[in-house]
Amino acid sequence: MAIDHNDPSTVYGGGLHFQHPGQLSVAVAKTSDAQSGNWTITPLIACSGYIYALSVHPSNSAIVYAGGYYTEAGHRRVACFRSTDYGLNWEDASSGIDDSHSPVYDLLIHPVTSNIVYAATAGGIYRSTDGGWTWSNTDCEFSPVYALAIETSPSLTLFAGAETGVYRSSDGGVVWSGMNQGLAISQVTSIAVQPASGERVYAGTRGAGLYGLNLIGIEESRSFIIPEDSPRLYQTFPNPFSTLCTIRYSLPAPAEVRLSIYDNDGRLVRRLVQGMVNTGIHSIHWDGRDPHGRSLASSVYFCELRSGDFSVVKKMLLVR
Amino acid sequence: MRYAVLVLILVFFSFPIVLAAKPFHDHSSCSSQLLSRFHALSGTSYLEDTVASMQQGSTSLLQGQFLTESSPTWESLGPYGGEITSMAMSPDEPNIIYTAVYTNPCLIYRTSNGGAGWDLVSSINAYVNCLAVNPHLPNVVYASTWSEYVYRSTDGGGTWTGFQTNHTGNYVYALLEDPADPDVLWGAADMHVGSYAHVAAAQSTDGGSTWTFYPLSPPGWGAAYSIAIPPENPLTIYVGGYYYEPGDLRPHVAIYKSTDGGVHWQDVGSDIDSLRAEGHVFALAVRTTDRESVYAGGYYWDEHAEDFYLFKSTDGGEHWTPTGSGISSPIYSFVLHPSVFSTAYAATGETVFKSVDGGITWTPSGPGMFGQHARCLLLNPVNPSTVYAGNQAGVFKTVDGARHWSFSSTGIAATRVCALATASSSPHTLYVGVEDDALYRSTDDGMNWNRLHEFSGCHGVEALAIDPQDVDKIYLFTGG
Repeated sequence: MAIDHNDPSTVYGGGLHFQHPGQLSVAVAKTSDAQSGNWTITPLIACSGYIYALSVHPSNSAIVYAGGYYTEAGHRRVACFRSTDYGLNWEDASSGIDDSHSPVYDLLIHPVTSNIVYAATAGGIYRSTDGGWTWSNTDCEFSPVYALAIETSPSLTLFAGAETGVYRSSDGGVVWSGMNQGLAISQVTSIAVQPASGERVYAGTRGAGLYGLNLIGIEESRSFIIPEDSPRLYQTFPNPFSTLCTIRYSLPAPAEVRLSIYDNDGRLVRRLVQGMVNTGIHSIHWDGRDPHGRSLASSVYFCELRSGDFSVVKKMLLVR
Repeated sequence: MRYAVLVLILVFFSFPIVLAAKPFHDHSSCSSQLLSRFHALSGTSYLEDTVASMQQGSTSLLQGQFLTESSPTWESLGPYGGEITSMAMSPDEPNIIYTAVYTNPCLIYRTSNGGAGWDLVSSINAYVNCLAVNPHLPNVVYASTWSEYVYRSTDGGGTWTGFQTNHTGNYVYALLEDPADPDVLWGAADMHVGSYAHVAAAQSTDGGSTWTFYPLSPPGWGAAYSIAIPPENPLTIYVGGYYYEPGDLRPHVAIYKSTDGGVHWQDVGSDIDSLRAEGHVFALAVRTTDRESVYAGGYYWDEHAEDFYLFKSTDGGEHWTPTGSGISSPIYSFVLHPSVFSTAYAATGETVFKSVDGGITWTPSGPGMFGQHARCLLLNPVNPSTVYAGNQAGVFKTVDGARHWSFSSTGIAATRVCALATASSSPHTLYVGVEDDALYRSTDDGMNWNRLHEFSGCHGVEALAIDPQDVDKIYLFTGG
């Protein structure tokens, strides 16, 4: 369920609606006067399923997201819907989320960059940078993911509660690190950050109650990352970008590395890294400029990580 | 128009009035005790445990992901309680009690002070259905699971070794130590032969390492859920369960009895069957000091109806009389007073009932207990007025023969959290919804909790939201 923080008397709930015997619909219920108990039920899709996640845009109450699953011809499909008119009409906003990753358990709208939305699914975490119209898998290495939260001050750290514990990301969901020490049961079904201060994070487990963790003084540690046997280039973030993007890559061992940006015609426009690089995860920023400091035109660019015979490319979109 | 699965309950708390339970005490010291205990366990070598587990074809102790080096450590906040599936004590040292909760991995808690405080001692990677303790060695504990494995600990529940009891899918559903020989364990079980499952008894004569299954019922489909051996007469064994004849949709009450230590068995449930009682026997208790009194409690359900029953026999199962006046929910276990023969306790789907007339009439026990589905009972044989009960909310204790109960779960942090909400207008306030239909509130960052409300008949709190401007105004969605 979700409450409209701009108008706390407006509350949304989601679930499965039994209208008549045998007539089911995945639906959202809304009240604009919670004390009255008068609810308006809006079917999203006429079949069996469920809505687990609802999220109201923090600064624009007209925008609401709903996530869950529905069943079509015996197959589970991802349900992800978006309304831009206060929950009156809903449109499909699941493009890019694999049906095999249903359901959507939680939705999180980025509190600062509100076109960025995160979806916790049975197949990992998806991210949209265009308000939910298209989604891409963040390729996090844990699933299912049940809950998401963000600490808004000072550092916009994301937290994810998953079957295998709690994970956090300080770069908007590109790299996640596990933080499970002390949890007697790793199935984390809910997660919350202490409001205002952001000093504490809470994790609700399925069978070991609630846990708390003070965030003050915790530094990013890279020792949680599962070692991989080949270099890896993560999807650049944000994508599309206009001024600055972050490129992350990891190496299983020290290696001679080249990290290069090519334009749509295959021309090298910038070399960001060349030389020996240590084991671990590394990040570098690119400002969309060539080596002479000139801003490049809006276009598709390619980022290539090359180490010996190994090469991997990610596509990125520069929009001025 | 019905919005099933989605019921909104609007709760306006007038905080001091709505409180349904007193605050939990002394949380901080106990949680640190629990944590330090947990750290001690984490200090053991994860690799060694893994190797040992693989060699045994089983898993034991804690999972590897708990032991990530240098990561920040979570602090257990409670709220205390959890769904209790089994409790066991050593009759020689009745202040040492073990508790298993309904989680997977199953968390194992131990108290050495009669439930005043519990320590999380380990976890077992399975759903545990029953615990048993060696009558003379209180650090030797057994756990049967919903799997082919039975686990044994010889260090007070700190570490467990799993033993595969069979390779054909037989499960042990209830465990009991032979009162005469601590190396002998008996289990209520099923036994799969071809396409049939027999009601079965399982026996280990080497402290749980190897097991033999004895089919008791004819070929069909059945299982035993309960077992009873009177301490004063260990050659007598009762096993109770259910049995379907091939092609029949009616579950028969199954009760089998041995009077020679398990060599020969006889069907003693046919008289109940003739009295119409279809269903499953969940609870058995036997006393041979007062003739041979047997209590059998159970449950019947199909797609049309559900029913419960309690039968008593005073002639060793030859004849049974329907009884249980006053009880209106399924019976999951009995304990009998060791010296006052007319006194018995029954754990039921509602609460704990007591009879002082040999099981003819039953009355709900006194106040102090909350939550439902009382599944297990323990009676202190040294001080029989002390009884422990485990239900969906946690462990409760009475010291006055069930006239009053007190919540006795300090240290058991095993609730299944399904909803969590914080309040932006009150950063130190937390609400937690747990699966046994309860809602908890803390106003001090989770150090202390109040159980606010119970919602019987629904399927747990599914979602919570707090009015950002008014911390006392909360919304919650429940299943059902």
